[in-house]
Amino acid sequence: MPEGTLCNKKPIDSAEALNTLLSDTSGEVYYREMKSIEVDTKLLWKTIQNTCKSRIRTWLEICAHCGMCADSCFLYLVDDHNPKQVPAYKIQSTLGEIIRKKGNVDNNFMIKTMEIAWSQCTCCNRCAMYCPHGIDVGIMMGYLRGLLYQQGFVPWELKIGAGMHRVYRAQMDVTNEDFVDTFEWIVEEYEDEYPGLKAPVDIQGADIMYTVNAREVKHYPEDLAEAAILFHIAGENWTVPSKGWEQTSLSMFAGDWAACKMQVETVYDAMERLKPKIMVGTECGHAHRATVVEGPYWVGRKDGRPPVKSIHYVEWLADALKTGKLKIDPAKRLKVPVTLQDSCNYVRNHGLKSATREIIKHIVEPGYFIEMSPNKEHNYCCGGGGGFNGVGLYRPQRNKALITKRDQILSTGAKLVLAPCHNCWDAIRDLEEEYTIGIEWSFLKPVIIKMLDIPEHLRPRE
Amino acid sequence: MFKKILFATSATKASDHAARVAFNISNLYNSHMNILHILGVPSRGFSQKVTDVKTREKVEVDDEYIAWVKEEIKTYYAELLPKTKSYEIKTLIGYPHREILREIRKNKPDLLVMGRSTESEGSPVYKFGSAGSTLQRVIKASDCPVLLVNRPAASFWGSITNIVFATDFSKSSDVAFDFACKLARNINCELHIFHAQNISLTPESEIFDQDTIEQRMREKLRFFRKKYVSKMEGIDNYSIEVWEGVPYIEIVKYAREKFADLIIMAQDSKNPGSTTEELGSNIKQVILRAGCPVLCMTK
Ligand code: SF4
Ligand code: SF4
Repeated sequence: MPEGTLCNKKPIDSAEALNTLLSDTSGEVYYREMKSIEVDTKLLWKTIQNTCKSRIRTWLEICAHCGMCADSCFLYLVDDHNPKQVPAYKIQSTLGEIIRKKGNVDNNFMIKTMEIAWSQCTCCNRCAMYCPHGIDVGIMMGYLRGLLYQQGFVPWELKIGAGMHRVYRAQMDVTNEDFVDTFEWIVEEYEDEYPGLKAPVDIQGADIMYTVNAREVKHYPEDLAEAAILFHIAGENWTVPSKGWEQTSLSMFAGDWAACKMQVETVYDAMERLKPKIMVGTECGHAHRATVVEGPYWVGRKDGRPPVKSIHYVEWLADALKTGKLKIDPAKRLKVPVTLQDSCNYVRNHGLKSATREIIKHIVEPGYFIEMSPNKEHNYCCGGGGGFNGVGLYRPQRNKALITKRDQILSTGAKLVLAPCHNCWDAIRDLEEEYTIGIEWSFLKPVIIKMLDIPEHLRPRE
Repeated sequence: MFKKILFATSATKASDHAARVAFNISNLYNSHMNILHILGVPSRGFSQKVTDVKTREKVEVDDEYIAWVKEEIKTYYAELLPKTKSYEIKTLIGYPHREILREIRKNKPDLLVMGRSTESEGSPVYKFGSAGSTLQRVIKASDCPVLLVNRPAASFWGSITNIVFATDFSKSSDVAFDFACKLARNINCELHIFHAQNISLTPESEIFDQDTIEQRMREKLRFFRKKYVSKMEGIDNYSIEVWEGVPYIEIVKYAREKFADLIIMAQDSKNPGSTTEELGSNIKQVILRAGCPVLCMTK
C-alpha cells in the first residue's frame, strides 16, 4: 500500500480531515496502516540534499563516538544506562543511517526511527552542552522529525496537532472568535473584584501585545484572566490580537515545517498590524522557542528576530517586580519549601535563568527556596518535552522518563514546584498522579496574584 | 419562570437529590431540561485522553464512548425522565466548573440545578492553579440562579409555598432579593425575609451585652422595612425577622420553622478581594444543613 486512508504523506488541511483522524480511537487504524505505507526514497534523498545543511552533516561526520554525551541524557540515565539511549547512537542509527544509505530505507526502518525520534529524545538539547564538539542531538532529532513527517511516519496525536495549526492556526480547535469571546467573558467574570479590569483586543501601538497557549482558552481561561489582572495592576498599556494570538507550535514537535511557518506568520502579522512596542508570551516554553527563537528562521527573517522585541512572561514579571510595577506583600510570601523547574526551551536554549530567580527573590520567604540539582541551563528535561507528553503510544516510556524529575524534586524536599511552562506543568502533574509524592505545582500567575499588594485605587469598593 | 433548566450532573449518587428536584421543577413548570455531564478533565498536554469523572479511568473520548455515556445517563435516570416533556443530554470535556459556566453563558438557562460536588474532587486530576470546588467556582461566577440540593431531606419538593430570603445586606443580596420577589409574585407564595445578626462568641468576636444586641436588632428591623417593603408590591403574605446567633444555624432553624420550600441567598460578598477566596463559609454551611433546596445568586 503506497498510502493509507488515515496514515499518509498528506498533511491535514481541513476540519473534516481532522475529525476523521480524531475519530480513529487511539489511532488504531492509523498505526495499522502505517505498517504498510511506502517510503518515497527518492523524495527522502532529494529533501536531504536540499535541506540538510553543512552544520548537521559536519556534526554527523565529526562525532568521535567518545560517549561523553551519554551521561548528559536523562533518558539514558533513567533507562539503566541502555547503550541504545546514548545520544550519539540515537542519531547515528537513524539520521546517520538514512544519509549513509542515500535515503534507501524501508518501512520497518522508518517505524523504528519514528520511535527513537519521539520516544527517545525530547529535543532538550542538554547533550550539546557536554559534547566536546558541541554536537546537538536535539537539533538533529528535530530535523529528523521533519523527514519522518514528510513520509507520514509521525505519531497520531502530532499529526492531529500539526493539522490543528494548519486549520485553526492554533494547537486546538479554537477559532479567533472563540478566543476573543472567551477572553472578554473571563475578564467580565473578574471585573467586580478588580475594578477597571479590561479586555483590550486589537489596540494599535500598545506597549505590550500578549500571546497565549490555546489550551488556556479552551480549558482554563482563568489563566487569561490572571494575565489581564497582572497587567492591569502593573498599569500596563497592553492588548491581545484577535488573530495571531496563539504562540505555541505543535507543528514544531511534529516536524511539520510548513505548518510551523504558517503558524508563526500569523503571530508576526499581528505584530506588524498592531505595532506594539514588545510582545510578551504566556508561561510556555516551547511556544517561546517556536515564536521567538526559531520562528524568525522559519519565515526567513534576515536578522533572526521577530518583527518586534519578544520576551517570555518570566522576563516581564521579573521586570515588573524589580521596578515596583507589581508589589508583593512580604507577609504573604511563600513559606513552604519551594523549588523551580527550569524549562529547557527558554532557560537552556535562551538563557533566561536569572529572570525566574529574580521572581523567586520577591515571592519566596528567604530560606524556603531550594534549587534542584542540577539546575539552570544544566537542569534535566521535565520528562515530557518535545511532544512526549501527548503521545499515547509512548506513554509507558514517558512515565518512566518522569522518574528523573520525580527524584530531583524529592531530593529538594520541596512541597511546591513552580513550573512556568505548560509542558513542564503537565509533566509534573502527571508525575504526581503516577507516583504520588505529595507535591503541589503551579504556574507563577496564580501564586503572584495571591500575594499582591494592590494599590488603594485599584481595590474593589465595598 | 423556569423555561430552561440546566441540570449539571455526575450521574452518580452525589447528584441524586438534585436530580429529583430538577425533574420535579421541570414537571411543575413545563421546563425544557438540559442534562449536562462533564466527561472529564483533558489529560496530559494535547492528548485525546480524558480521565473519566466517574471511573477515574483514562478513556479515549470518541463518538462511541459518548454514545455509551449518554445511554448510561438515560438508564440512570430512567424513572425520572418521563417527568420532563423535553430534555437533551449533553456531554462535554473539560474542568467541570468552567464547562458549566460556559454552558450557562451560551444557552442562558433560567436556573442551574446542581448537587453536592462529586466524590472525585480533591484528586490531582482536578487540580488547576488555585483550589476551590466546582460548586464554589460555579456559584461565584454564574449568571443565572444556582439551585443546590445537598441533603435527601431537601429533595422532597412538591411546589413552593414558603420562600425564605436570607440577606446580609450586600449588593448581591439586592439581586437575590429582586429574584425572590419575582418568584414570590409569580407563584403566589409566602416570602419570609430574614437576617441573622452574627454574634458568634468566638474569642475574636466582640461580645455585646444583651441590651446592645436587642437595640441593634430593632435598628436592623427598621432598616429592613425601609429597604425592602417598598419594593414588595403584589406580595401580600410576607414576614420580616431578625434573629441573633451564628448566621447559618439561625438561617437553617428559621427555614425549618417557616416550613420553607426554598432558601434564597446571595453569595457572601464580604471577601471580594481575591479570586481564590472560598465560597462564603456561611452559604456553604447553609447548603450542607438546609432541609430544602438553596438558591444562590451572585449577579
Ligand atoms: S559527546 Fe559528542 S562526539 Fe562524543 S559521542 Fe557524543 S555526540 Fe559524539
Ligand atoms: S536532546 Fe536531550 S533527550 Fe535528546 S539525546 Fe540530547 S540529552 Fe537526550
